[in-house]
Amino acid sequence: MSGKMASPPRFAAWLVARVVPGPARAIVLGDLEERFAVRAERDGVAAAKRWYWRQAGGFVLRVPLTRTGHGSRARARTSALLPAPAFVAARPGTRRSSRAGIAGGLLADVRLAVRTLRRRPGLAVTATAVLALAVGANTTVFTVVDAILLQRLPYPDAERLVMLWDASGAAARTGERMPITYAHYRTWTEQEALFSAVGAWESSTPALAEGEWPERIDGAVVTASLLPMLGARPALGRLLLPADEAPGAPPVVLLSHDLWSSRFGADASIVGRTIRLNGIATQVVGVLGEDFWFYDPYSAVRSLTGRNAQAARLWQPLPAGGLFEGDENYPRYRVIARVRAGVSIESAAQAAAAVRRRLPPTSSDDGAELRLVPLTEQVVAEARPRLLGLFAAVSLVLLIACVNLVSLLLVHLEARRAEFAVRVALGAGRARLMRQLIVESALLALCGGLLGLVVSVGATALLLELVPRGLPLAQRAALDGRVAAFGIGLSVLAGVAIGLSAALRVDPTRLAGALSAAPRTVAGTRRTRRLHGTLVSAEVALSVVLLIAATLLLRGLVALHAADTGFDPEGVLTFEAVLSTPPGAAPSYEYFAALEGRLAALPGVAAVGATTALPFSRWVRTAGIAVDGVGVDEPRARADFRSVSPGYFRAIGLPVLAGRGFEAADRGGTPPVAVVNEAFVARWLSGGAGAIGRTVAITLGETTVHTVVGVVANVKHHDLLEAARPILYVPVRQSPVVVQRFAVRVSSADPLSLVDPIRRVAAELDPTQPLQNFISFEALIAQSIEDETFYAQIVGAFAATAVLLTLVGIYGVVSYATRQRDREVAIRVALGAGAGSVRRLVLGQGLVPVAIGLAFGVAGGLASSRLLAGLLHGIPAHDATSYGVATLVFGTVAAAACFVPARRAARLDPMRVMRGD
Amino acid sequence: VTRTALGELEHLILLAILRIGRDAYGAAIIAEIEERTARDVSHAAVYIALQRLDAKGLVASRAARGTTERGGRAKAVFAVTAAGRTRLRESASALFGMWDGLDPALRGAAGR
Repeated sequence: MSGKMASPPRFAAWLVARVVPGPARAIVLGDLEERFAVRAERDGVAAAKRWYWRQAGGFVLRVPLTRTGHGSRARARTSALLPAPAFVAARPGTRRSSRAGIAGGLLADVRLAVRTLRRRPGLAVTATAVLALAVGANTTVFTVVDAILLQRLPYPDAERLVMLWDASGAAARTGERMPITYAHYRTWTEQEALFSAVGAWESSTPALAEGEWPERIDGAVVTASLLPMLGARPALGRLLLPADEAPGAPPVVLLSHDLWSSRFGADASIVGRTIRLNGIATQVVGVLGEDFWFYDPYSAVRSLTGRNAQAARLWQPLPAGGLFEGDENYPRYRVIARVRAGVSIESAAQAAAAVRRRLPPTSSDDGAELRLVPLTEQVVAEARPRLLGLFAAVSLVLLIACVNLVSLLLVHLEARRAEFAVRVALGAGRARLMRQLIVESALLALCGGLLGLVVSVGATALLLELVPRGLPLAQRAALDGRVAAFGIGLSVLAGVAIGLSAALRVDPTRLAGALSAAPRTVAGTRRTRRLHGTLVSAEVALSVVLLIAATLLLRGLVALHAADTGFDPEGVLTFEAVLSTPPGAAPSYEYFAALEGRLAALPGVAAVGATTALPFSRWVRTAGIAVDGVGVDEPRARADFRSVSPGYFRAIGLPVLAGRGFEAADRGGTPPVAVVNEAFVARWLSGGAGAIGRTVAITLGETTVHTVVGVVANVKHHDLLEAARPILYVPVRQSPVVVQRFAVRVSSADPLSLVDPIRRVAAELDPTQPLQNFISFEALIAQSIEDETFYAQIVGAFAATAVLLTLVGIYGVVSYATRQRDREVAIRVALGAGAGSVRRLVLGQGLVPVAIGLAFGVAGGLASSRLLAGLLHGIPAHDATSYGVATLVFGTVAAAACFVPARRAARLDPMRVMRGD
Repeated sequence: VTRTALGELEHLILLAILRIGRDAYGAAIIAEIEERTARDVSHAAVYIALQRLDAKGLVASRAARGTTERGGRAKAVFAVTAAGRTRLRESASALFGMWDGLDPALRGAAGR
């Protein structure tokens, strides 16, 4: 023999190994190799290889076709190590497995599965519907999670974008973030080693005079550097340029694609046209691309109406030096910077904080720190835990659906014992049966998944209608390839898992007896019953967790709705009027008084009032105060401060408890007066002889001393469950402002019916002053709880689905188990058991696993309710009532589900059962 | 119980095992048949026949350690059982009975 030995063709050897099973494989391969060596020596390697291939062909062709009788198999097993019995296991379609063989077998399995499922339309329809529901819900939530958390922000190199905030003094400890002054913005643009670009902006709502009445448009005043940094591209014209920022530059504006198409009819010749913004002729220089998304952390707070309220719709240049003269040190601007490539976000944050510490202190800061927040974090931080909670909730629905289907399949499997027993007798092994079951359930899951995608399209549209405005980027949620892949992948995974769980219960050795032992004994089904019980318990536990979460959220919502606002919002329409003052001209505060007078005269209006900060408008205004002349020079205390019109208290239904409200006579030339609320009295004016007649010095730029003339009730301002906050009211004419929020008490049913009459009256008074954000007071309050409402609705829907699925599951398992015990029940009845004791037997059998599931569910609820903490107000996460209600509701409906089969069992005719009808 | 007759390959295998003696494993059996009959034998066919013989109780097998020329793989060593010998003897006497008195020329061709 030569030193270099030829080896058999590897693929041929592999083929042989594939078809020859078990211990025989080594023997056969060894013999072949030995003979191959002899032949290679004698006939040459090439001839030997050809010979080997022929031998391999012989194995592929002949082994699977050879079968022997059943009896020889048992005897063959007794020999020590045989090629022979191993061949017996080789059956057509399983071991004849070249690739084509596997595919062919799978196809046959699929065909068989289709036939089987068509014979059982009930199973097929139920399973498909259950999966469609669960996969649809999961895909829908995934669509939103994907849009918000998984996809990158729609900006180039988004992970290097950061937002700069000042956290000053007390704000630094509470985590509150303050905007940046223009002076500091300029400092940041000089840090070229840290940032490759820096941009700043402030929101604006210029009045656009187009159409019947002027309208305020959400917009932003931006530095020329901002939009290019965010990857904005003009669809028409150009972006803003640094030259546009220069003092005296002609006013220009950039329009959003949306504004351009909705207000200007997508006019292609818009660039170069002049429009009037706040009464100023402004040239349109460009239109942005349709896909540009402008993020402003403040705009969600500022705009009250409209689903896409976050989107700025026009951009104007921010003049060098800031929006207003002498305004350089006012913290007004949001700043985004791009961290230079090669500099880590952490080191940039440290370096920037060091720079910030060296800056001279400004009026508004005491020991401010710079916060550098990655833009992605800024956008999604608040939404993340809630969305993950939502995802967890919807995953529970899927898990429940899976458990449900496993028990459904097991019930059907019991019914198919005879079928499987026949197949085992014909030589099918466990693997073969398992594979078929998995194919069946994967097929069901695929149908369910496809249907689920259809469900998801509708559900996503619905979800986006409900989604609170605080969820950024939700609107880009859409069913795309990723989402479809997720849905289909999820359903196939679920299908295989379900099939596998059911298939693991298939035991050919146990099935062998199924043919002969048709009437089974009680003992024979005990194991099955225990398994079904476990599945029911699992299902109950999972849906109780969801039900508890939903009950907690719902009770929180009820508490919010029941909370007293302190005033009467019903039948009140609110809107904003902002004076657009041409530069240089003094604002005409008389406009507000005139508007109020005309509105009061409108038919259907019961009362009109105006304030600087309407409750639940998310606006707040504070002023420095000094009571009874103490510390007037340097007021240490601050309180909420509102400039209100004489009709305001009446318009919102806020009772005056002592003294008087404001009158038209309280104006510029008369002694300054003030009205305070009860909380103010309790906090600042509790000592001495009552509040009336005391003085409060108010510092707002300059200091004026007001005499308290009345006390009003407390109101909730931000939040329905907040503690009463001290508020100081002064007459608007003694503390003029440019923004007023109106409340109009309407005597007709629908406050919104007055929107057009009010607009008409206002346009008659001054066609250049727009009114905006018309919304009923009740809707305004509802908006303050839209997060709570949203999550309560969604989790409530999930919980309802889960409970429904679980009830179907319990009912199916209990009625099946009851039928299995028909003979036992019949014997009991024949021996004199009453209907009541039969009912108790069945109910007990059904309700014990339910009770176990309830216990586990309550424990799971306690463990997971921490996730809800941010959404529960006034309700502790361990609220006993919620747990009690959820458990009671579930226990009751579960009992109902068990009662139906129990009644059937109690009505059994023992004779018919015993005869085997 | 009617006994099925031995097939030709089965017959050859039983004889090969007897000729080899103690170490009659797959490759040896095949080598023996191929050398004596001067024809190629399909391995697959031999194993299937061995399996049939085993099922009929005419051969018995035991495992044996592998050798280097077969990559160290295990081998199955076969022996003819008492029943196997009886069947061979019956077959042989039947065949010899049939050959008896035929043309010596044919006999020579067969015996080679």
